[in-house]
Amino acid sequence: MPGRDGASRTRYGPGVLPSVDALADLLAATGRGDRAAFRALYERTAAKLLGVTLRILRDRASAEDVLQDVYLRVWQNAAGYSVASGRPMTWMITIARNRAIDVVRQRRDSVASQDSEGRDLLDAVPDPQDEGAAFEAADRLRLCLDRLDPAHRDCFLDAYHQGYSREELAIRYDRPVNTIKTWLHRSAGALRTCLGDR
Amino acid sequence: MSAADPHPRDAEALDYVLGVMGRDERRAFEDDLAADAALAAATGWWQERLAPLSLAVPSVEPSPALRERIEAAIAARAAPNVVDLSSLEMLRLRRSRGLWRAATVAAGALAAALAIWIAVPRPERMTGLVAVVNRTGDLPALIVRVDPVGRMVQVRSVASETPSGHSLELWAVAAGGRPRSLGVLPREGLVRMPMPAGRDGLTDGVTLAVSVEPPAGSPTGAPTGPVVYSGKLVPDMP
Repeated sequence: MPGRDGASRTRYGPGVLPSVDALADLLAATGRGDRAAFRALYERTAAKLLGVTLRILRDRASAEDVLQDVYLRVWQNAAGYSVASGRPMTWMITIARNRAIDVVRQRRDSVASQDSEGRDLLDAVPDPQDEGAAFEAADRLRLCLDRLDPAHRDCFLDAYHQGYSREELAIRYDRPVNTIKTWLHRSAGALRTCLGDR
Repeated sequence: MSAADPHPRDAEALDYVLGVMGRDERRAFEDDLAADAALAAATGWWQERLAPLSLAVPSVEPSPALRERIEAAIAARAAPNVVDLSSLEMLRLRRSRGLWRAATVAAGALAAALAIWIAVPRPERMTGLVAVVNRTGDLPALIVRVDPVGRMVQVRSVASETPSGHSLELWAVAAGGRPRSLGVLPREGLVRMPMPAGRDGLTDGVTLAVSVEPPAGSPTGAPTGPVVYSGKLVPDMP
């Protein structure tokens, strides 16, 4: 690969993400066909996105297959990324989650026995020093989730992190599917109000 | 979108973002996203607000081989397709089944001239010559080989014709599924493209289709022009 040594060797520790501007610059360069920039983008984001896809897919081979697809999409679509698409990391997380959820829905796996750990993950929301806005957003989200009924909140976080369908959540929480639907919709209303732009 | 005046389907948008919808419901919602900018905005709102949850997930270092696979797949493409859709890619907007159907119908007349030959060989068997015989004796437009082991699709343009000012884009369509782009085809010569992820990627019975698109490929993520070639994937060895 030509110019690969232009890729930054900088590694970011867990929970410390590169700034929005740095990622946006790398995405822009990737969109111009700059493979070194693409590699740097990969180096800075792949471990985070693998964490996200692995949680949903639960096996490493599938998670890495999906990640390959995700980065090829990033390469192919980087030229069209703009600030209007959301923050760079949100844009990439969305692509990764969408792909992982598509694959997990195709599988129709039975519910895996995995501990509910969404709550802990929320507590672990990092404080990226160069992303003040992200920190505020995480803080706000934590506050708003704290106000939900605990069962509703656990259900909500399980859905987001593990990619469970309503049916799978119904089994996990031993409730009818309609109850799960109601819980999620109540959470939606409460969060929309609590998180709403003001 | 203000908190006081959410989209009427706001809760549904959250269901989509969380990922709790079943497959069909998910697809139907994506079709609606394509047609409803306000719904897309509501969906984007949730994606942005919930992203901190993903940032909190512990990182897992990918195997070094993954980056090599990705870079090899990219090296096989001459340049990134400059597709002006990725601002919307995150929402996967404009995926229009109706458009696809229309394109398929438009292709009906051309379908008689189908000349895609699909082979599913093992890579080590890909050295031999393949003769594709049509009733008309015409050359095949494309030879598409699928390597399920290396997860690559190899396309050789033999006698395909690319309308000037346009490109040809290759799509995989599973029975009852949406077309998934495999990439823009070269005007001539050989290209290798990665197989789409997922178990129902390229298997026996999947239809491959080629549509006419703008030079950089479909701007929408779905076929926008007429389908000029199509063929079913069949194993070349029993």
